[in-house]
Amino acid sequence: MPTDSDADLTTAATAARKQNMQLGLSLFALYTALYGAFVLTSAFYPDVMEIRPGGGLNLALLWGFGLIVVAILLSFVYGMFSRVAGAKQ
Amino acid sequence: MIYEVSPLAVAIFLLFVGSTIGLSFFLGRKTQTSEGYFAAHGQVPWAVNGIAFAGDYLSAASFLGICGMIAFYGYDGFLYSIGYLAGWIVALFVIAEPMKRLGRFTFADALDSQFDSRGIKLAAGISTLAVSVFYLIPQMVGAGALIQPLLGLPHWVGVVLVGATVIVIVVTAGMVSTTWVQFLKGSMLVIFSFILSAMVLSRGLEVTPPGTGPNALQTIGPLSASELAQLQEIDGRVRLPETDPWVDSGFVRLENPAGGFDVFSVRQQDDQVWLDQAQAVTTATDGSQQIDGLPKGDGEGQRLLRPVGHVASLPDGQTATGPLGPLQFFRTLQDSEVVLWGNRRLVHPDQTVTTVYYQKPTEGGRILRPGEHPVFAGIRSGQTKDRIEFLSLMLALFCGTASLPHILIRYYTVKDEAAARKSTIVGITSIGVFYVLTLYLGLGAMTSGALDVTNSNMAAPLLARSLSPLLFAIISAIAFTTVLGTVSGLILASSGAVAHDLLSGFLGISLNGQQQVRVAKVAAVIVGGIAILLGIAFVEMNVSYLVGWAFSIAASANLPALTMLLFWKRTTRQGIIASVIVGMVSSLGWILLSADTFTQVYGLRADQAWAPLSQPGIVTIPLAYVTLIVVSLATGSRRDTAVAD
Repeated sequence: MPTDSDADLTTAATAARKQNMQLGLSLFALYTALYGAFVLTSAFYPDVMEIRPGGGLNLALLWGFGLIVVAILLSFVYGMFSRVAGAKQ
Repeated sequence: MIYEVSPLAVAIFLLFVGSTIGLSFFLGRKTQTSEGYFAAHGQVPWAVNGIAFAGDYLSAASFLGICGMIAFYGYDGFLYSIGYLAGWIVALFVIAEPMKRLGRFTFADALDSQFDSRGIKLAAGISTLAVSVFYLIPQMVGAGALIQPLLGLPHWVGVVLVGATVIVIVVTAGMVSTTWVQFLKGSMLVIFSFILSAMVLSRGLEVTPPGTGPNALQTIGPLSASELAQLQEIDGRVRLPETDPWVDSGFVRLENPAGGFDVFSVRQQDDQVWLDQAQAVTTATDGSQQIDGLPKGDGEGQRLLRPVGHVASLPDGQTATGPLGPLQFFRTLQDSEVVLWGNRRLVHPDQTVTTVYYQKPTEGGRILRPGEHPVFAGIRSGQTKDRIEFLSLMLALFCGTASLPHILIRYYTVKDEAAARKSTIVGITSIGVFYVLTLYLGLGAMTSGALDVTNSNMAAPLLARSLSPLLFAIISAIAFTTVLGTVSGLILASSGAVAHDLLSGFLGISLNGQQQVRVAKVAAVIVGGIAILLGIAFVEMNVSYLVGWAFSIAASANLPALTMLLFWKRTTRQGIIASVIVGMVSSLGWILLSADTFTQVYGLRADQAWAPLSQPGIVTIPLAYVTLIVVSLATGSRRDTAVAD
């Protein structure tokens, strides 16, 4: 028979999942914007990718590497700020 | 000689394969139940699972295909790296935790968690099989491409060897052995790619002037452009007559005193021309091959292709850079000139085909920008259709990762949602590091002087060979294990779909755990057999390109249903079934009717193709979403609880 403690755990798990989902969707939207801009720029303004904005590297290299590095960083951010969705499910 | 069978390479290769099979038999005793066979009892530690994600995901397409594409065309291959990694963002932020919560053994479990519908089990089971089989093709092609130079065996032997080894791995211990094989492979792939990249940077870049080096290619000139057509003798050698199909081909053939001929491409500058040596591969209708007019082989009166890939000039007139830093490598290459290789196909009256591979001196700035590969060149054509083709591919790569059944089932092997999340983070980190390294590996191969112009898939192992015979042996063995790891995951996903979704779930055949495992093992043997046949049939296609198709099917068939189930409360059983079927059939049908399939598979002309684009994702992914919404609204029954809550 479910106890009050079980109910508390379920409520806590639901709240944690909701918070994780909101955080995940926010980070997803941020990354999608960066990726989408990269793809659209490559498709419609490919010459822009040859510009060398700094460090002697062109935009294609900087943006491409940037997308990989940002993906790793955002995954760490998600890992640090997401909550454990309850041990009991 | 590009390829030479090395006893060391064979020994290391056999050691890897033997260890893998031994590990599978050792772990086999732990997997008598369906929980053990399909999900490793959900007890895999998250860190191990994370690296196993990398081992599962970094397939032949990533290692052989991407490195090969970068080595032959530059930055365009890196676009695949970017797209493949971006897909993991969808997996982590949207799919990982719900997937663990909803499912048990297969992708269909998660999709069907709210409905208990035979229709969903059938649709998702078939979709899993379709995606897995399409993903299997490039893995098997990659295996064959590796075995050929490594063991000196024909392509089909490599395919059969991979198929047989993987069937043993999957049949003996299911997910447990598959996980550990993938963990070992993922670890070694990242570590040795790092070592190889460091050696590329340490070697730096060096100019190879025309006519120098052990495999020198000659440059003749300058000659007068107006007199070239009349010259019967060039460089003291007889010029061969321009019979069909050489007439107006842009190539000049000169007699070779050792037999056969040397072929040259004509490079014009103002009113002067230079002749740059090319290489001609002639394939007769019976499959026999000639290289520059002599039978292919390393015996008397035979000839082999020369290895290629060199820097024509470095910035500031340097001849060699010495060791370079990670960013300095790109800065230097950007201002250098590298000789890439193009090819042209000439068809003789008797249907014999000659492919001429010719030098294409290319500025470094062009190599490090998108748009050099034929698939991506359209973004510079100014035509909207070509740009949409590019967007479609990049969309499929973004959406495909989180829809691949063999990746999704790995979420069932850990104990809870937190472990699913952590293992995905480990996976993203290791996969991301590897993808950064692909650019060093590909560009290193491009300038290594070791490439085979006919086989882009061998670029990474040949780069290793140019650095160290031992490294070549290890990298080749790792590449082979790479194929084993991914194919194991795919066959496991397929066998689960047959035993758990189709027989047990859809047909309602009552099977206990042990019977399910037995059926899954039989299914693994059958799917493995199909994969072997397809791997032999698709021998000549670039593996990375083939994987692009698998991603399109996965993204169209699976992602719309999965995401709408999680985020739209009005999703119905009928909506999910319709979405999966429409997404799968439309994307698969589109691919089969596309110009690429017409030319490369059916041998027909591109203009005979029915589909307007080769990459279907930009149409078929939205189509699957619209189908789900329309059918769900039409069928109307609301779910009481939302999974996302």
